[in-house]
Amino acid sequence: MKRIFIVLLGLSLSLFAAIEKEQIAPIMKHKIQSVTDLLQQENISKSILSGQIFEEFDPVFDFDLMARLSLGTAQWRVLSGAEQKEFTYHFVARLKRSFIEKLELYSNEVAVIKDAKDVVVGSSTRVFLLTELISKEANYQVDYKFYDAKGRGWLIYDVDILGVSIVQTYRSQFEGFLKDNPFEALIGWLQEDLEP
Amino acid sequence: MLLRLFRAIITYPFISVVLVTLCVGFLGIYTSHLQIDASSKTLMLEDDEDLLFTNAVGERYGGGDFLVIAFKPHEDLLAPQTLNALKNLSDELSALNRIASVVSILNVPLLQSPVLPVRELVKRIPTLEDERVDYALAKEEFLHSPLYKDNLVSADFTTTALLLNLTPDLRYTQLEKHKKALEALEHPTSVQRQELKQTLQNIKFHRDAQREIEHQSIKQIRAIMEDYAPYGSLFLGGVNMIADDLITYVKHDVLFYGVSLLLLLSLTLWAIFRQLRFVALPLLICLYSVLASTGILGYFGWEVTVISSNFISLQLIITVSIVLHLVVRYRELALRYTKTSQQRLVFVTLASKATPSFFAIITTIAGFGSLIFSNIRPIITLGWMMSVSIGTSLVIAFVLFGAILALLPKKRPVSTFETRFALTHWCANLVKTRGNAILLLSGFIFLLGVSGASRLEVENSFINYFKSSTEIYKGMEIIDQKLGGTTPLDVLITFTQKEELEIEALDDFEAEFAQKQSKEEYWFSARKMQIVERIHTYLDAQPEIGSVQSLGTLLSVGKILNEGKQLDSFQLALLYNELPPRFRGLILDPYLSIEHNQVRFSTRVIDSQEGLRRDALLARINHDIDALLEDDTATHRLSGLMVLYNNMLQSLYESQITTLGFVALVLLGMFWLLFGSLKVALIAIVSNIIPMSIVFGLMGWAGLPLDMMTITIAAISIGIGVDDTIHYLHRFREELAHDWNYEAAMERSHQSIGYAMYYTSFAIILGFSILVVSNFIPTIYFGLLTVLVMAMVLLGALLLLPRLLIVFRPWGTQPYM
Repeated sequence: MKRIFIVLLGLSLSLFAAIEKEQIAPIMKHKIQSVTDLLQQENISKSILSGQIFEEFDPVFDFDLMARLSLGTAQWRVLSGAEQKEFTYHFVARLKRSFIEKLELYSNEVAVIKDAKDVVVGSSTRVFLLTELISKEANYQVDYKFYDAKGRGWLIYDVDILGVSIVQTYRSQFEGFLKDNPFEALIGWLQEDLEP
Repeated sequence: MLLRLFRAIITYPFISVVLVTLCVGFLGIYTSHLQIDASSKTLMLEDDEDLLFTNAVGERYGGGDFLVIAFKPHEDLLAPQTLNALKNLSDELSALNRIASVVSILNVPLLQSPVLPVRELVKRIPTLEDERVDYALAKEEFLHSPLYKDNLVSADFTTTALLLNLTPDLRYTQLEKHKKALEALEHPTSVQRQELKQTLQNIKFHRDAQREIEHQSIKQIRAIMEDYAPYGSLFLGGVNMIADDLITYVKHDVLFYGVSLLLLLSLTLWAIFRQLRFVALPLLICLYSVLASTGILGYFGWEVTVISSNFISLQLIITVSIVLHLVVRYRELALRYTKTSQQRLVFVTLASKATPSFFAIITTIAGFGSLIFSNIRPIITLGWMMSVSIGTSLVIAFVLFGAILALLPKKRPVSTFETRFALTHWCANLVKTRGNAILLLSGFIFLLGVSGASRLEVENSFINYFKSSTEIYKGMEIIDQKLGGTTPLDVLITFTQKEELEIEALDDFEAEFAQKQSKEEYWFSARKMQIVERIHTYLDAQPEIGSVQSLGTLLSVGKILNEGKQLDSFQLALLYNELPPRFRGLILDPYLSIEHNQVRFSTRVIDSQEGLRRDALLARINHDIDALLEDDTATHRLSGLMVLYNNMLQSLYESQITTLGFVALVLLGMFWLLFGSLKVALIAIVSNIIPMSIVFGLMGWAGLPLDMMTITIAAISIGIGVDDTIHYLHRFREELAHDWNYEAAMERSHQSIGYAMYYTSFAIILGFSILVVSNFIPTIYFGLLTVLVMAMVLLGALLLLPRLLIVFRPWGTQPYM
């Protein structure tokens, strides 16, 4: 318990530090290592564990942007400010729930940062942090995509797992869903226990 | 003109016989070109849109033709020797050219042995052939996985299926497409017309070659199966095998019953006439006629199919009828005019029978001609076949009968049979004394017939074509009931095309994601998966449907792998990206075409299910899926053999029903023309319709469905029925002219033409009763129905027709002035 408290304290201090481009790799390395340590702890309840992991990762994720991108700009603009907030809230909750569910898939993999490369998209530059989860049988590629959030530093706006983008997956889903259903139904759907 | 021809035949009998023999001999050369085809392609409608669609589906998903082997080993299914035998059997079968792949319990992916998270599983999916597989888990998976239960293994785990995927016939599809394209041209040039002709020729050659390949492959497969008999019982099934076996049955029946029929006919003829010449002559004429018409068929390249396999029997009926009318007329004249020369007797026989025989044949041709209006190639062919062959019979019968009898010395006919069996006497008495009873009974029969006919069902169940004691039946039953059904039926769901995402502010993020939008792995949305599951669950719940395989199967398995939770889109995308190609081709590609935004539900209908109503089933599925898709933007369409056969049957039924009315009108016109009186024509039609209605009524009440084989019975009964009516009326008119006494004319007609009608029917009824011992159910039905039609039509012509003539006196009571 004490240990957890110390970790939480340490994490909360790093919460307000914006990441510079050059720091992406080292900071992420540190964060990934911390999360790996957490995961390897025995006898820790899922809710506490996930809470700690989010503490570690929340500062580097731009969840608002992820929500907005997942919905698509065109759709996003149709919503009122309150609706946008509501959507973001439920979207992030769902994203996290889905993440927690996948936690139990973890079985002693070790994460290794392979490379951080600059990628030019249109007029902007992004940084893709290429990492690999190494297990006994195989390696899984996980890419964290950072963009320059100006005053807030570099933040993650999407993650590719084995080449499949999380944001893109949601985009395809929401687009299909909103063709036949109103926005309220989408919120209901996000709240559902069932996975999208 | 005609009389001159008859004179020539009698004057030069020897030359006439030689000429006919030469002609028949020349045509006989082409009998070797006669082909029997029972492939599913012969049973399709000419321009069935569903056929093109089914072909397109086959190309898109690779779900082409397949055969199934049901293997019931003596040992346990997973015992080493069983698996060993399975392995060797699969290897031997795979080596055959016609077989593209063999799917069995050995090589299907085991996704739950043990249950692993998806991302781990896709890294290395085991099969039964892997060393580290836990057999107990594998058995559980086979018995309970939606992928395999009641499909790859039976519920009692005693029987397993080997699915033999046949190499797709791409050449045929290509030729058909080319043909369609050429046919669609509005103003084809002469070069294009030539090309179309050539393409049609190529299609035929290709089909003939394919059929032989198919037959040989099935023989090879059976030979391989025989080697494995020590390990357990093996049955072959699948639509292609059924088609191939049908050919075998049809060939056997045509040959065996053709010969038996001739033998029985000879016995009957001997019993009736007691003179060798009247046995040999009809038989010779029958043989010549059959030889000539099969030669013509070979020459034109008309194929005998399951539907037209009865044509030889039919031709025999018509030919016997023509010859017997001639024989009876000749005997009648010979008994009456003992001093007249043989040549003169023969000439008068031919002359007096020319008109009624000609009209009888023309009306029969009209009956069979009705088949030409159907839209089904084999039925159209049957119409042409019959029309040509009975025309041939007419010519051959008159020439040979005249020439050969003219060559033979005159002999007094033996008439013991007439005196012993006095059916016609008895009928004449009934007409006189029980007239009203006949009319009442006819009315009752008509009502019974009409009410029964309204209960008629159109069904075609291949399994019911075979007796339950036959190997083919047993095999079909096992595959049908234990391994997921026989007749393929596909349901295709096409999701509405995505509109291009309208990007208002094409900022860099939008551009980045819009670019990815079209990537395949993002296709799996929850909305689509809900639809897939909904449809899959619905199809699975239908009692008529055995196996259902679709993307939904994978979703159910995924749920098991995911601890009872649905796979989310993300996991599905991973699965799509990571699944090894060899398994993808087995569990994903046949059911999903992202390119076409479409999913396929591949089902098999349990053909042997009691009371299966195919048309109603398809209608119900269409209606229900419509309702299931109501709120969702997706469309559906059914395809597969089930749909094609059903289209064919329904079209056949409609065309038969609609043309029946037309044929009745044509017949009315002909009777009117022949007898110069509308009243007579109406009487003739009525006395034909009533006996025919009893046939359909009986089928309706007995729950005997009209199928590909029995549906032609309408045309057949018209063809047979009108003959008796025409001959009788023709004779009655002659007899009436003597004394204008209707009753006396009736009695005299019964004593003369009545015999001919009675003998013809008697001979044919006796001959056709042999068909009842066939192993092939359609042959049995055909025999029974023919017998029934003949008996009814005879009674109609000897009881109802004369009674109506006596009641209505259509020719008046005065000689025309």
